[in-house]
Amino acid sequence: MKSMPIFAVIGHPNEGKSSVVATLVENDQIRISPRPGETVESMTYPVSIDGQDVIAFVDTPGFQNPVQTLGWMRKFRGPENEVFAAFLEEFRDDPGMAHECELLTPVRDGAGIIYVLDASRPLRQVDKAEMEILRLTGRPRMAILNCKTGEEQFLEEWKIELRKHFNMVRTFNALRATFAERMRLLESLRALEQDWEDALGLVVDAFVRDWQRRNAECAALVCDFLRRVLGMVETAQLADPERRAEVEARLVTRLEERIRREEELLHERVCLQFRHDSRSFVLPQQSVLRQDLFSRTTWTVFGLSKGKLVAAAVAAGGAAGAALDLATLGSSLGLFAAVGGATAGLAALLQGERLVRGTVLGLGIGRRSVQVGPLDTVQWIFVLLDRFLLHYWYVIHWSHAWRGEDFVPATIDEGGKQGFSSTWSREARGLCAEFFKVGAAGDDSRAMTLEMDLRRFLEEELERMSRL
Amino acid sequence: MKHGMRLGDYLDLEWFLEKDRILAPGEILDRDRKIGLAAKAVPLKLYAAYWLEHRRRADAGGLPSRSLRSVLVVLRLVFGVGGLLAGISLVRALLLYSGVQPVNVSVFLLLAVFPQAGLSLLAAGLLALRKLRRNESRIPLRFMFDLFWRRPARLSPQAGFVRALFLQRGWPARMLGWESLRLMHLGGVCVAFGSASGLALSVAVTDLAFGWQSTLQVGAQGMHSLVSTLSAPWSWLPAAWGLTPTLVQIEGSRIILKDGIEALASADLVAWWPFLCMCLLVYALLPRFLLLVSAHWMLRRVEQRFVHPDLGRILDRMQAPLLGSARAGETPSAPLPLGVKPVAGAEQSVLQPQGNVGCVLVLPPELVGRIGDDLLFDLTQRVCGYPAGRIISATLDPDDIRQVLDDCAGLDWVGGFERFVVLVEAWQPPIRENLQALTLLGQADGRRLILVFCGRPFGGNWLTAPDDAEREVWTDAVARLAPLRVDIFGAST
Repeated sequence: MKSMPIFAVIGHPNEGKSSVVATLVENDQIRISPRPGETVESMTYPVSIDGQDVIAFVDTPGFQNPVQTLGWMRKFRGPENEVFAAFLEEFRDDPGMAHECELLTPVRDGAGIIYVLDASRPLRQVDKAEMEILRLTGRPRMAILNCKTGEEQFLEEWKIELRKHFNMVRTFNALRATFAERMRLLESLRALEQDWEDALGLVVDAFVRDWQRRNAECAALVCDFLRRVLGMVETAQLADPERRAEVEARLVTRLEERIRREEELLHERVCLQFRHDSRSFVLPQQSVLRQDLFSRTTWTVFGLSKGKLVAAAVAAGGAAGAALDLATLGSSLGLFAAVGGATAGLAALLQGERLVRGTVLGLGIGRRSVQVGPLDTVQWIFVLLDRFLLHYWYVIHWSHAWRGEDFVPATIDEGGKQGFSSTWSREARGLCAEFFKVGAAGDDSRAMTLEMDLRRFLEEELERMSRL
Repeated sequence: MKHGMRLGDYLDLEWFLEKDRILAPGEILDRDRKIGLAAKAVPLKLYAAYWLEHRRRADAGGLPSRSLRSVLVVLRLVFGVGGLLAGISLVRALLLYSGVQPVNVSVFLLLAVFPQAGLSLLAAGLLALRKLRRNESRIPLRFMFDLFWRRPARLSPQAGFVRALFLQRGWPARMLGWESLRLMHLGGVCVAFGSASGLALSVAVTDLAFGWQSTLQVGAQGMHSLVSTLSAPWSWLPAAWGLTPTLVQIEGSRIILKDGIEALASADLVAWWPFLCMCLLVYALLPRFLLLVSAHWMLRRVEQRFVHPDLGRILDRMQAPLLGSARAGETPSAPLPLGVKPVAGAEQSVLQPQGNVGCVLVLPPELVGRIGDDLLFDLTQRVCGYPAGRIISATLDPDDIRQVLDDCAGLDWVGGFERFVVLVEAWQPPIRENLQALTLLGQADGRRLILVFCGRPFGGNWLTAPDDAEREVWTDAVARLAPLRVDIFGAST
């Protein structure tokens, strides 16, 4: 019977072993500290599929006495394959060798080795001692070059030395690793040991399937969010017509607050989809997402440029008009499409940044009420989508090993706009604009069809972003 | 996709999805995958129904579908029984006969048959119009809800949810539209059935006479033409059954008020009732029944064609393998235990000047030749007041340090004090071997140990300043070596 693949993640203290494990198993709970020596005992983190463990990673403490350990092993005169058992027996009760015993125990028990090292620093004698110890184990082993500071001056030196001791050498930054990089690492682990190929294949397939499901969930979540937000209105009784502006202002504030809450909820749920504890996930300090949804900066950075916005609105208006043309069995010669497109485009051009429009309901006899909402400007759907996508981008790049500092995702800067939507095709932008139009108008049956299309488009978009 | 889900199922689906909104995604995923694994033998098209059934079983509270069903049962009863009573009452009111004035067939047709037929025709026309224009007929739901539920706050959560859903979303309202139509046609069928059965019952248990009259000079022939036209749908049935009055019977049942009915033959006066019965069946009951069936069929079609956007998500969760990783915590860190074990070893000495030695510089072997001697002399001068009298290459492990001490054993130290300056690459974490070595080096009386931390090499410079974190880590580690007297400096570029 083939045994479950277990990989002991081994290395010098503070080289990022816990980070690698946290990233591979997507576990925010693993203790990671910038201070060396925080991991004092081996912890096993199994990956299960449907409740059955299929693979496990063991986070081990760093070497504390590599030179002495190697010296002892070289002096060992017993059978070669018993050196580790003898070492563990000899130092079982020696507190000074506790870390070595901890990290070598899973190896003695048959675990493969993932040797993690920080290749942004020079190679030292202790590193050579560690590599030699691991070579003596005779277990399948891979070295992971984790360039913590990005310095690559010593990379070649490391590679030359590592190739002497390891079956495989890969570069993997646990703090920056994308989903694709994680999968590539797992794929390469398959090649280490033939007996583990099937199990690792299963894990890779499960991760890929799970990632697709997460993207589909996120697409559904954002569509649900948009549907809720686009239809939102606030109404209040208007006892005194003189106070209309005041009542409207109050309603706008209330509406904004509701939209903010919905967006927070969306972001929180996206975090949870990717197994990030929302308490540990923090937006980068300089992120534009830290700006209020209704701030000028948000409006400036996200959404479409004027030209693209008008084009999108024209496409959406044209589509609605085309439906009317169809209803007349074409006898209108596309007039409705042309007029609808032109009107929508003009509206998009003139609407500016207006959030909502206040409307007085009632006939002037008896009770009157003021209604604020729904969202009045097509730009909002692009702003909301851009904010969602940027948040998604942060989330998928927020490593499970990341514990504090900022990083800047690649942003697309085009005409001052940094949102993803400005890079979309004309058809995609038209689809969004039409969804906004029917969503705000409360046309549920059309919105439903468009929602399905939008979901599909967003799923593809999220998949694309995952592969970037 | 044929999934067999009905309006009530969709309402429950929305109800459960709303409940899921407050659950953690992991919890939802876990639950749905378990349902998916249990549904392995179920055909894929029935996965959604299986999921729904599972959720219903697990949910102890009331469900919107039950609320809807209760309301529908009541409404069906009201419409059914009300329709029957209305039909019977209508017919009974028209069949008043006391032996003086026979029941006027024309009035009966005008009040009991034609209105029902007309309404059916109108309903069919509206349906055809809707089909032609491809638009949706909207029912004034808000008005109806406001009418029946004046205080929504007093509704049960399920009923309140259903109300909100019908008002906010188009698809349930659309299905409800067909459901309402079905109810109305059920009422219509019951009215027609009540009318027909009322007539049949009246004929069976009472003495009735039917006749016709007209001021116009149309004559029996005209009436016969009208009757023949009306009875065309069942004209193929045997004439012996007497479902259509003959011309003679029509002539024989004409009422002329000034002549009275005494002269009319009883056989002619009762010949009308099968015809009237057939009229009710064919022009009132049958169209209504067809409309009821079509409304039912349309409802089923809408339900069948409707694919809830979230069904895909649910199926995905049921089918995607559930990935898990243990959420174990880790024990807090503890200071590294120190202990020295004697091991022999040797390293080479780099610089061995003659005469009194102010201090000895211990340099990592990897830095030999990378930092100029003048820089090293300046460094030792700065930190201990003497240039390095000797520079020894050694790693920070006990064996090497023992060798260093052996090599320096016979040195003539300035002022009789041993001074060791150790250049430590602080970017390497202090491992136990390093600390053991420092303990060895610093534990003798009359010996001063000075540590100089340097940072990561950068741009060809190997004597860089350590960063704060590295310096702090080492300072803390060295502090645990107490009571050693150690002076700490940082290298600067």
